[in-house]
Amino acid sequence: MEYTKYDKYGNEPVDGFIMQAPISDRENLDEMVPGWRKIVAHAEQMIAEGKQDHFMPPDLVPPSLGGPITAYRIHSLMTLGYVVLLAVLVEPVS
Amino acid sequence: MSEEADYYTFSFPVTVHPIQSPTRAATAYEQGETTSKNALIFVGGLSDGPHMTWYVWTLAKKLAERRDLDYSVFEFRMRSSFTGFGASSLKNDVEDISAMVKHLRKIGREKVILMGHSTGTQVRIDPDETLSLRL
Repeated sequence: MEYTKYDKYGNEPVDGFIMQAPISDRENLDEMVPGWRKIVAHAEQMIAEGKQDHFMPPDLVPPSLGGPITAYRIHSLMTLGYVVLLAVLVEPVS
Repeated sequence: MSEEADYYTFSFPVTVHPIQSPTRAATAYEQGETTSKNALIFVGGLSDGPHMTWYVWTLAKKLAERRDLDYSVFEFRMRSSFTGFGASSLKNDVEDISAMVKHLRKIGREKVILMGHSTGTQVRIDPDETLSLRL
């Protein structure tokens, strides 16, 4: 969604876009991360304190994310709608 | 059965292009015909990085067979690649992708298509402007 905002970023235009599996669903979030509201609340607190670039406490980071994450980033992810991480294993085509 | 064996024994070549980017010492990885006129940039989802999404390899192979389309496939390292996503931002992503696109224009690619997988699509565009690449 961001890359289209050419006026905002002055970024290099492309000739086309393809979106594959662009899942973004609040219902999914309830299933995948039941405690997400607590996480978002904590992130908002950190952001209010000017600590949006600080990493979240590890116990508030879902293991499925696969790495440390800042308050800004997790807030942005979870309020836009969490995305299912699709591990697509494609069999090598001969 | 041999599915597990296939997992660990298949391999594929890439051509590495160092690129100018806000990402330190960034490199792009091209699959397919390097003499192609056009380029498809693939951006993965959260915690992904180059070569983690295997259908890209299949996509590149199929595109290489379609010389009439004249596309090769690019992946590249950006600040949000792999475990870097947690300290990065959509703004950084836009900058990094822009640097990749700029490089492709510099090396003479005519059509450049941006393709996103999963959260890779947060950086893409609203559905009205999606293109489907018919193979």
